[in-house]
Amino acid sequence: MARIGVFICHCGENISATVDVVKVAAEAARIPGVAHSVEYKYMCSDPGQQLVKNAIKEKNLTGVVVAACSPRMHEPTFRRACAEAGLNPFLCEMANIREHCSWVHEKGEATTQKALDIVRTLVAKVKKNKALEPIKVPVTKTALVLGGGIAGIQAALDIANSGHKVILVEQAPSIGGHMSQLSETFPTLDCSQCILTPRMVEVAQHPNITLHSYSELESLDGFIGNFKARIRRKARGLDEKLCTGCGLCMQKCPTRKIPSEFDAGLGLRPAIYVPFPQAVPNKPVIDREHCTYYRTGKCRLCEKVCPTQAIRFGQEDEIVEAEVGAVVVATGFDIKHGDFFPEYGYGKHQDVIDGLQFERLASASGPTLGEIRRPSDGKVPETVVFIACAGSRDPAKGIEYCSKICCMYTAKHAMLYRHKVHHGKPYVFYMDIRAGGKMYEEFVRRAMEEDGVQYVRGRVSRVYERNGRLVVKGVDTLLGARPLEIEADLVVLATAGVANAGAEELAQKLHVSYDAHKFYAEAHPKLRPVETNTAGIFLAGACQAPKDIPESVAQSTARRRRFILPASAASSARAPAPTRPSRRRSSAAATGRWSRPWPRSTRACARAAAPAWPSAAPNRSTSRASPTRRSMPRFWPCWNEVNAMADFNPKIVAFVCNWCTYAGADLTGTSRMKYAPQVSIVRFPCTGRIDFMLLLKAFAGGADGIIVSGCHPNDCHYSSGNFHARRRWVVFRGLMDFLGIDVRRVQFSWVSAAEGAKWAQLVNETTDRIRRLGPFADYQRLRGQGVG
Amino acid sequence: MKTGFYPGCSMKGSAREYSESLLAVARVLGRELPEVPDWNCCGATAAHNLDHDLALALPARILAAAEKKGMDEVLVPCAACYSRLKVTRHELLEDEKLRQRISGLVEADYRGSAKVVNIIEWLAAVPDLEKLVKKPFQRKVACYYGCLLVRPAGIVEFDRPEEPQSMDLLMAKLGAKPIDWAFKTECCGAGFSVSRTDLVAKLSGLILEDAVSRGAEAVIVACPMCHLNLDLRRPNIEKRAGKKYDIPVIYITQVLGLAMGLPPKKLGLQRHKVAVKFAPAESPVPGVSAKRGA
Amino acid sequence: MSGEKHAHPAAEPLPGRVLEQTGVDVARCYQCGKCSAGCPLAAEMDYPPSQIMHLLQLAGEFPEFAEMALRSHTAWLCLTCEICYCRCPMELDIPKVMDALRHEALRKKKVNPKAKDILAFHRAFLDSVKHTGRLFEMGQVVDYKLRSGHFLQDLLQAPWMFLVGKLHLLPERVRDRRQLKRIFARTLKARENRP
Repeated sequence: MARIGVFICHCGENISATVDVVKVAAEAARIPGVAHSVEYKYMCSDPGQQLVKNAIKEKNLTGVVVAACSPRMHEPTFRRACAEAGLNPFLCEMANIREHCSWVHEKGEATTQKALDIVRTLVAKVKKNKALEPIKVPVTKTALVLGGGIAGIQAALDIANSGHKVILVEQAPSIGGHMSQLSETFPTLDCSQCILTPRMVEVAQHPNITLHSYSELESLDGFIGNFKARIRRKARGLDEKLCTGCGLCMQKCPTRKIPSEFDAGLGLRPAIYVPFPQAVPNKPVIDREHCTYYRTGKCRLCEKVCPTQAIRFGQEDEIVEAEVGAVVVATGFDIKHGDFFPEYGYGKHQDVIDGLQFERLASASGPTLGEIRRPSDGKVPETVVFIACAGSRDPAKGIEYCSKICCMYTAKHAMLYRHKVHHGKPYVFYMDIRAGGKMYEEFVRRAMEEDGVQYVRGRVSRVYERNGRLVVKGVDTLLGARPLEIEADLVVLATAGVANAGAEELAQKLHVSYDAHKFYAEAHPKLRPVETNTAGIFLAGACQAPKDIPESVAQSTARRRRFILPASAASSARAPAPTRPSRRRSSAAATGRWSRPWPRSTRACARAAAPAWPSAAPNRSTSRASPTRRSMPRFWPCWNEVNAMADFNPKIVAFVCNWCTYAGADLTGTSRMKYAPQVSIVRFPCTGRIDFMLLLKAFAGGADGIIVSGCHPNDCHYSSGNFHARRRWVVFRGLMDFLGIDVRRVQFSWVSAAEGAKWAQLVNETTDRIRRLGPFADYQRLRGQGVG
Repeated sequence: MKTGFYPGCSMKGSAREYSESLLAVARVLGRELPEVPDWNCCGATAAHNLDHDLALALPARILAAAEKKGMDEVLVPCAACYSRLKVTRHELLEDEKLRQRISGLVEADYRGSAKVVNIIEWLAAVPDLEKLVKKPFQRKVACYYGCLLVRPAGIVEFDRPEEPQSMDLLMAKLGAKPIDWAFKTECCGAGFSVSRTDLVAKLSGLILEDAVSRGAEAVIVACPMCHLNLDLRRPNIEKRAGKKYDIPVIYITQVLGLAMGLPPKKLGLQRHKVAVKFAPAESPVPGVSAKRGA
Repeated sequence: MSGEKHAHPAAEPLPGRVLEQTGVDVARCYQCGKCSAGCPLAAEMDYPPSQIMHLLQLAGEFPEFAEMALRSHTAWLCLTCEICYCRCPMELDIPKVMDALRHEALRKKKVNPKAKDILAFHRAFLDSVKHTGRLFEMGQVVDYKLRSGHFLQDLLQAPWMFLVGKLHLLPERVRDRRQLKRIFARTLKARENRP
C-alpha cells in the first residue's frame, strides 16, 4: 500500500496569491494513497526540507510529491532531502504549481482546482515510481575547449594545471581572441597584450594542452564523460612542423592589400599571413580567396622563398578524432557591423568607426602605431564623439538587451584619446552609465573629472558629413531635450555585442540551447550559471552573453571546478534516464508492435542529464510500462464543473519535451503571461516518445484537444526525437481519421526554452480552435473499446 | 492592369506644371491616366491634425471610387496625398472594425483592392526608360525625397527610410549625376507654407544650402508641397539666409520630359519662380525672370 | 493634486486615452531623446517630443502634466515628418500621439494661443474642402487671412501666381458635394460639438 506525502509550498505569496493552498492540502489528503498532506510558506527552506524529512521518517512514506516550483528549479533539492531521510530520491516528484499554474492563471477556483489536478497527477505517477540507482559511466579525463580567446585560454590553463589533458580548438589562425585586439583594459588601463601574450605562450608550451588553431569542431557525439569529437583542421597551406615562423613568405607575398581582420579593417595584410606578430602559433596561413596562385594558378613566390620548403599548396583539410570527457564552449562574441546604422552613416563615412576599430587605432601595435588618426585622411581628430548604446537597448534594431561592456570601454576610449591628444575634445552621448563593478564607477568619474570628457545625456539621431567633418545631431535631455549639434572629426560607435555568426550552427552540433539572440543558455541563470542543459558541456565567456574580461576569467576558473569534480572520479554518476519505454502487451495488440518509440540514439539519450523518469528505468525489468501514460490524469473534476457552465471550456492535454517546451512554459510563468487554465501539461523527456495510444488515452480520459510540442528542428537533445515525433504524426493522422477523430484536435508545435510568449499563444490558439470544434463526445466510446 | 490617376488639389492649381509634365510624359510612354472619378481632396495635414475619422474618410472616399471603377492601382504623384492614401489603406486593412466604420462614413464598401503607387514606383516600372532618352539630362542633381515618400517605413514600404536610392537610380537612367548629400529626407516645413512661413524658410534653407554647397545644379522633387516651399518660398529663404540661391527646383516628371526632348513649355517650366536657366528655351518664358524676387 | 484626480473618478487618465486612440503605450518610452535630437522643429517647441512623452508618462498621476501636454505649442508645431517614429528605438508612433493631443486640445478648447495661425490655416483648408470637395487655394488663402488677420502676407505673390497660371479665380468642385458635407457632419463637426 502506497503511503505518499504531499507538501504544498506557498512560495511566499508566489503560489498562495492565486491558489488556495490550504484547500489544495486538505483535498490532497483525500487522494487515495496519500498518507500525509501539509502546506508551508517556504518548502525549499531548511525548516521546509526538515518537514519533508521528518514526515518520511515519522509517517513511513513510500513516496513524496512536492507541489511548488518547476522541477528544473528545485527537484535536486528535494531529492537530496529525501535521500538524506532514507527515501530513494527517485521516489520524489515535483508538482509544478507555480510556473504552470499560479503564475499563468488568474486567482480563482479554477486555478486552485488546476493546482490540485497537477498534484493528483504527480501522486499517481509517484505511486508507480520505482527505487532506482544512478548509472555509473566511465569518464575520459580530457577536456575539449572550444574557442581560444581569454575565456578559453583561462579554462584550458586551469584544467591543464590541475593535471588533466586539454584539447583547445580555435577557428582563427591564432589564439588570443578579441582581447588580443584591445589596446588597454579597464579599469586599470594596463596593456592588454602584456597580460594576454604570456598566457598564450603558456598554452602553446603546456604539456597537457594540445592546440588546434585554424580548426573547427566538425561534430560531437556521445555523452558526459564519453564524448567523441571530430575536429577539422583547415588547410593552412604549409607544413607546420617545417615552418619556423621566419616570416619571409609574408614579406615577399605580392598580394598585400587585403584588409586585416585583426586590425578591424583599418590595416592591410598579405595573402599569406599571421594575424599579428605575437600570434600563437606563429605559423602563417594562406588566404586562398585572395592568394594569386589559387586565383590565377601562377605566382608560388612564397614557395620559392621559404627556406625550409614548408609551403604545401595542395594541402587538404584534416579531420582529427578525439575522445573527451567534458566540453567547455568559449566561442566568444562579435560586435554589430555593416548596414546596421544607416542614420549614423556607419559603413558610408570612413570616419564613423566601431569600438574595436578604435582599439586598433589606440593600440601601440595597431595600424597607426598607437596614434589616434582618423581613417579617411590620417589627420589627428580635434573632436571625437563617442556614441554609447549604438544598437544596444534598441528593440527596433532587434536588440533589446544591454551589451554591458560598452559604458566602460567608451569611458576608456575617451580617456585614451585624451591621453594621446591632449588638446582634443571628447564627447560621449549616453543614455545611462552602467558601471557596476569593482573600481568601475571610479573609472568613469575619472574620465569626467580628470580627463575632461564631456558626457551628454541623450541619444544621437543622425550623423552626416559636411565639408569633411561629421555633424552629430544629438540632444541633451537634461537641458530640456534641446537639440545639440557637434561637428566632429571622428565618431566612434559602441556597437552592440552580439553572438558569433556561427553560434547557432555550433549549438546544434553540441545540442545546447540558446536564446533568441543566439547566446548560449545556461542550465539555470542563478544556480547553474556555467553549465548547459546538456550534461558535460559547460559555458565560458561571452558566448553566453556579453561579458567583460574579469567576468569571463572568473567564469572560466569556475568551470574548472565543475570539470574537476566529475573528472577526478573514475566514473561519473548519471541519473537513470530512460532509453526506451518497455512494450506492453495490450497496447502492442492495439497498434501493432511499437516501432522505435524512442529516439534512435541510445547513446544520445544517456547524455541527458537529470531530471529523470525513474519509473521508466533503463532496463525493462524495472519498468513494465511507460510512466507518462500511467501518470496521465484520467479524469479532471474541475473540468466537469466548468463544462456544466454555459460556455464550453475545452480540456487540453499538452505533451511537452523536458528540454525546450517545458522550459518555455516555465518561462511563460516567470514572465507572468496568462493563458487558458484548462491545459494539463505532461512532461516527456522528448516528444519522440509520443505514441498513438497516448493520444487515444488522453481522449478517453476526457480531453477535447491535445498539444504535442518539443524542440525546434535540429535543437533536439536526442538529435532527432522531434523529427521522429513528426514522422509518427503522419501515421497517426490516418489512424485518427479511421477512428473518426477530427485531426484538428491534435496540435503539433515547436516551442523553445526562450519562447514563453509563443507557449501562451499556442495554448490560447489551440483552446480557441478546440472551442470552435466543440467538446469531444466520443470518449465513452473509446473507453468501451478498451482504451484507457 | 488598370492604373487610375489621383492628381490632388495642388496639381490642379499651384503645382499644375507637375500635372502637365506627367501627362506629357505619359503620352510619350503611351500610358493612359484616367482620373479617379469625382475625386475629392485627401484632407492633407489639416484633416489628420483636427480629426482622425475625417483624415481616414476623405482618402477612403477616393480609394473607394477608384475601386468601384475597377482600377488596380492609383498613381498618386503628390507625396503628401500619397502618404495620406497609403496610410489610410494600411490602417483600414489592418483593422476590420475601423474599415467598416469608415466604409459607413463614405457610403461605400471599401475593400482595399486598389494599390497606391507613387511617381517613382510608377516610373521605375517602365521598361527600358533609358531608351527613350534623347537629350541626357547631364546635370548634377540633388534628389530630394522629403518625408512622406519613405516614411513611416513600415507603412509605405518603399525604398529605405535613411539614404533612399530609388530616385537617384531613376535620375542616373536619364543621364543625370545624382550627388551624395545629407538632406534627402529632411523636412522642408511641409504644410506650414502659409501659416508659419518663417519655419519653412529656415528648414528649406538648410536643404538648399546643403544641395548648393555640394555642387548640385538642380533639386529634383516629387511633391508639390516641397516644390512650393523650395521654389515659391525662395524669397523668404533668401531673406532669412541673407544670400541668393539660383538653384532651380524641378519635378521628376519635368526632368524626364526634358530628357525625352519635350519642349520646356509643355512641361510647365515657365511656371517656376526660380528660372530653369539650362533648359533649352525655344521662346522666352514670360514673367519668370522679370518677377524674380518679387 | 490627488484631490483633483479623485474629483473625476470615471475619467480615464490621459495616457490611457492616448493608448486607446493611438495604440501607443507611453510607458514604453525610456527617454533616450533620439526623437528630440532628430526633430526639425525641436528648438522651436516648448516641450520637445521626448518631454511630451515624459509628461504623458506622468500625466496619469499628475493632472497638471496632462494639462501641460494638452496646452503645448509642440502638438501644433509637429510637422508629421515621421523622423522621430522612423528612428525611435522603441518604435513609438509619436506623430500619432501628437495627433491625439491636437484632437483632445481642440475638443477641450485648450489649443495653445501661439498655434492660432496654424489652426486658422487648417480650418480654412478644411472649410474649403467641405464646400467644394477640393482645395480652392485662392479661397482658402482669403479665408485664412480673414481668420488670422495677416492681410498683407503674400499679397505680392498672388498676381505673379495668377500670371503664371497657378492661381485660379474659380474653385473646382466635386459633383457629390452633399456626401462630403455628410462626412464632415459625422466626423469633425460631431466631435467639436461634443461636450
